[in-house]
Amino acid sequence: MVVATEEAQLNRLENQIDNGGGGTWEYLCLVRKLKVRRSEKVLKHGLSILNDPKKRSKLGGDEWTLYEQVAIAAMDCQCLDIAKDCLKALQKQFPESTRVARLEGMLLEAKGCWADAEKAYSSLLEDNPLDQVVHKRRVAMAKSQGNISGAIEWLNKYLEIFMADHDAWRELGEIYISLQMYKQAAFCYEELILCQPSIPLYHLVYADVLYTLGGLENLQAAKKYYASTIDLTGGKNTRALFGICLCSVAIAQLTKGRNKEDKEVSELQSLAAMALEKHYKQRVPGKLHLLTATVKNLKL
Amino acid sequence: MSIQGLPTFSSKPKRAKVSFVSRTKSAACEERSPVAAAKITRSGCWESWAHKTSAVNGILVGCLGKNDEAIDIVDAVPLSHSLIGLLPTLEIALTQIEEHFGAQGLSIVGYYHANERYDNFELGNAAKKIGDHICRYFAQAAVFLLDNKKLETLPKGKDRNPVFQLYIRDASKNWKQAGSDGSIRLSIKEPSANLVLMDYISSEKWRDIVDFDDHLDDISNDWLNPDLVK
Repeated sequence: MVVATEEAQLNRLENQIDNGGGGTWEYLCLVRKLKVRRSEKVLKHGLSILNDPKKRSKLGGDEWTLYEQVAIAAMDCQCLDIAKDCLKALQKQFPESTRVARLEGMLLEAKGCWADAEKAYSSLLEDNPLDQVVHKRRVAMAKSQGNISGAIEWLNKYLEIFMADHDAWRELGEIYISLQMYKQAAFCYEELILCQPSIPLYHLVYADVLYTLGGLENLQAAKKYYASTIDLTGGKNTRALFGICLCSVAIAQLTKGRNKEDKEVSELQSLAAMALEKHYKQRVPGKLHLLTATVKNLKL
Repeated sequence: MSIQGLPTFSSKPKRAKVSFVSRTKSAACEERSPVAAAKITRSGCWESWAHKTSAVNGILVGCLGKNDEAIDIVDAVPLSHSLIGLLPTLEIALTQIEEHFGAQGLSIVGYYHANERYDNFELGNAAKKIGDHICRYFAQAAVFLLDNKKLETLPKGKDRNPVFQLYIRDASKNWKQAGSDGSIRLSIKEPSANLVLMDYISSEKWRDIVDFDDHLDDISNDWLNPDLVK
């Protein structure tokens, strides 16, 4: 998961190296650290280092980390020959390595040789049944082949063992959302909020899921989580502010005639609408009329 | 914020994971045509290209054509590239799109969708549900599902046909692929659309595309993409 400042730094470095400036190694390290997927850039700039013997020798031991990073980027860009070359270099340097064996499995995946990849991963798991990366590759393979129910099954089994793996919970939540299994998705985000209650993204997506599920209780809970997102982000999250407005309208429609909570509802909605108007006025005055119309429509 | 999932590898070249949206254009909208043509040409495809590892979708805007016999699609707004199954972004976007284009006499007439996986040619349930939602705005709304294989072969041939599948809702409200019985005909009035598309892809204009998700992440991102096609 990447926050805005880190993404800005990444983009700045990317622009710099694209325009011939330095900072390639810094960029590649940041990509690894943030675990983002910028395979074309990594492939292009990583190869420029690997193909230059002087630059390569300056890396020292990090050379092999770069080979691994470029191999994966090459697979992602379907440049399998490059991936194979990187893999050969790694196999030569680390002949009995599990980490290299995993890369071999990934190459089989990239080629579409699912059965062979499955065999490779199974054998790796026999030697080390707690290898998280290989477990996750299995899930990825199921997803690649369109076997979403298989992916869900594998992910659930994985999470029974590694229940603290936030990325896995998020992946499962996203898969459930894509299948419109919102109750199950909600469960995943509940787990995430329990583990990391100060991360606003989880509150926000949970609120979105509850809103999508609908029903009075879910809408009221969604409003609370949009409110907590606003709290955690210092009032700057546009989605959460809109979310408050959407929830307020939906709740009002469901509770027509009941007086309870009317004042509270409209005060929170007004505050959210005012905050949105302020942001739009400051940053995109050209779109303010659209926002005003949206808020007006939502009040009907 | 960006979201990471498990990297999955398609067994086909990454570039082919993108598809193409085309559109029709009527005589009434001709003064907008050159810009609109290119704008829609880029929309579904470029959004897909900018977000190669996820499903993308967007809204089609247009009007009824002459004699109400045809629906002319004149513009497109890219919507999302993550968590497509959730309602809030869709609802906010539809309100703003309606407001903006309504002032120009246009309305929401359809929806486009590109699947996450290269070899998935089915219109999924999420896309169908969103299509149903759009039908509340426009009963004859169409859904376009982008076709990756057709785009892959585009640079090799000189195919001027639209590179996507068209879905229409039948009387029992099921989404069916149109065209086989000849009752619905799709035509592109811009013959060079595919060429424009390939040119824009090679010049990497897709990097600048902004969808509604990007706008909600940072409101200074303009989902109308006014500078993208000039």
